Amino acid sequence: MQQPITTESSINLPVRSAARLTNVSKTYLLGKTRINALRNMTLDVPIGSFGVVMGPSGSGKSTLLNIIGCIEEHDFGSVQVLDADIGELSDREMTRLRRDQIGFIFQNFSLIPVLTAAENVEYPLILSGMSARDRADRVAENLAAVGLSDRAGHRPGELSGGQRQRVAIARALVKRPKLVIADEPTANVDSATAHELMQMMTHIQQDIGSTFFIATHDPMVLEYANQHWSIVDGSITNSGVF
Amino acid sequence: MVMSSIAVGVIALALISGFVSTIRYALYTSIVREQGHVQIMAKDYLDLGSSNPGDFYVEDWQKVAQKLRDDPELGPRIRVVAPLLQVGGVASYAQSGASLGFRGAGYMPELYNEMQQWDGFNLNLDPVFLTLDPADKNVVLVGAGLAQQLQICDFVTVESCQDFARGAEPEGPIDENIADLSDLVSDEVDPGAEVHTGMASIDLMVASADGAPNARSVWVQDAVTQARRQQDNSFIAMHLQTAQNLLYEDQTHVSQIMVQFHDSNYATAGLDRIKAVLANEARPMDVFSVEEFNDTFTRVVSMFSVVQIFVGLVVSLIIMFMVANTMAIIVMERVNEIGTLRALGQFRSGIRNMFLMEGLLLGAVSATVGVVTATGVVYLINYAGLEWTTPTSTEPILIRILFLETPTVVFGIWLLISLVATVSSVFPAIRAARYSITDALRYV
Repeated sequence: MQQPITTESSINLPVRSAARLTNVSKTYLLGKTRINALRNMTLDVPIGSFGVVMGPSGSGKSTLLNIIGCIEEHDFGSVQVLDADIGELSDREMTRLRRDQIGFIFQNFSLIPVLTAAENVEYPLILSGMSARDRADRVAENLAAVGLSDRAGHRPGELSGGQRQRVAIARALVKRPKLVIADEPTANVDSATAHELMQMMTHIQQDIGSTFFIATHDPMVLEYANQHWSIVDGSITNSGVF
Repeated sequence: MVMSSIAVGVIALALISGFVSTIRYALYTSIVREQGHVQIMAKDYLDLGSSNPGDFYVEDWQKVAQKLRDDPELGPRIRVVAPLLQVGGVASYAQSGASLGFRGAGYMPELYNEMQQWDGFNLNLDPVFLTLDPADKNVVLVGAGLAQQLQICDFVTVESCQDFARGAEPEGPIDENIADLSDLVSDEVDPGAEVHTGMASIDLMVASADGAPNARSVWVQDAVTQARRQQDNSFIAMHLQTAQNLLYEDQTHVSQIMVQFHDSNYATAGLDRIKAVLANEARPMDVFSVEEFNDTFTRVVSMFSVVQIFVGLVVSLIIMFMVANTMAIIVMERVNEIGTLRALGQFRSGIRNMFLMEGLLLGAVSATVGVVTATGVVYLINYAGLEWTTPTSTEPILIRILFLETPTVVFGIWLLISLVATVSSVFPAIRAARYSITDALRYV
């Protein structure tokens, strides 16, 4: 039986898949109703891919993202993220994996309202223990990459929806994660901005080589993907490579 | 809102603590002025000696005092060494036929009045001098109540003293074997009626040291109102020599030696040093601190301390409830943020510590605001000219609250409130750390 590889060793060894799910199931209890969010799902996310999972509301996309992003635990099956067996990790180890290796882009941006754009982008670097000088350089670089250098001192309340999502992208990528999880990144912006955001993410992905795994029901996002999956009622119904 | 409530709590604590400090220091000052920091008395005098002066006395008090002053450690630190001779008996006024028991003491007025000027805590309290004529050993001061009981109000200046008409003397058998009190009055001292114009002459009878009755006529220089009625009805202050003449043949005996230091901080060390210096005296002696020879001080201070603690508990409970409630609301408002921080890689302990720090900051900042505001409130009260009469005084004194003068109390209040606020944040912080990431991110 394959022994689980610890988070620390996973960072240093080359990985084959960014994420691999084998017969994974996840069930929720809503009141007295049992909801099967994922049913015996098997999925492989190739390293370096720009993957998109599509499906209608309630199909299990977000649950799939949460499990791959190590913010939710599965009930059955095996989940390996960056070659770490998630089922064997403690809460602290999963937190450390997220801190060091995984970036998140949320549907509602999830920026800290009392922090400026620069401070929001800086936060993951503070958690990782980077020095203040290095943090300042990295933040400036990332804000420039998303075209928001002139908005560094503004709070989220002073930014448009598109600008906030760019800050969220900058924050997700500031620590050069191996895996980026994006949940409906274009849901709360107009179509022109959505295109801009997707172009930005693909450019950055090509620069730093991260694996992107995006959940969406926006067909426009597929144009930028090189890997896709369809999910319906917690199961993968279709998958392919572009 | 919470900050201002905490600040008000701090002000309340500051006022009660400052008032208790004032009580404590004022009472201590009063006792040190009247009785010294340390008292030296014959061994077991407190338990057995007050009714047996013949066996319980300090012999040759001046020699003892000199021994203390000659000690290289004690000498520079001693401010006053004064004698005291407790004496009790019956006082009577022949013209009115009234007599009653008295509890008095013999003093050296010049030394006693020197003690009255001690002001170790800079409270600027008015001294209560003993106004006995230093040149006339035959005069006494009596309590206003005693003057009234003896019906000598015409001879004293206390306005509240009023003579009253006595009823007819009850008839009853007269034992011819009981000697007239006046027969016991010593002929050795001429009361000097022509010198004491306007003064009443009263007779004092005591049980002398050898057990025999002894009586003496003295002149009442004036009456002085005492703080407590019981004391007012029995108080007589006389010259030490007069008291010694009543009780002893030997002029050097006293019941207590009062030692007053320049600095109260030395009192404990001074007491130990005095014990060491007097350890080998022929007549064994007890040496007592203020707390030991004056249990009223301990009880009064304890009572106010209990009140202070009670107020502190109530204020702390109220602050604890308010902060816990506020922090719970803050956590609820920031559930999304908690989920985001956890997703970004913040540990549960980091979330918990973040809210604990916010509680600590809330408490510390509010306490600081409260301390600053309390300083202003105390200033206003101290200069408002408000007065009150303490349990141990007869005249009202200005209300004064010690606050900045007691930095330990100020820091203690600040620290207490900061800690209370931090502790109040514990449960909300723990709850914040326990949120599931997905539930927190989905929270609306």
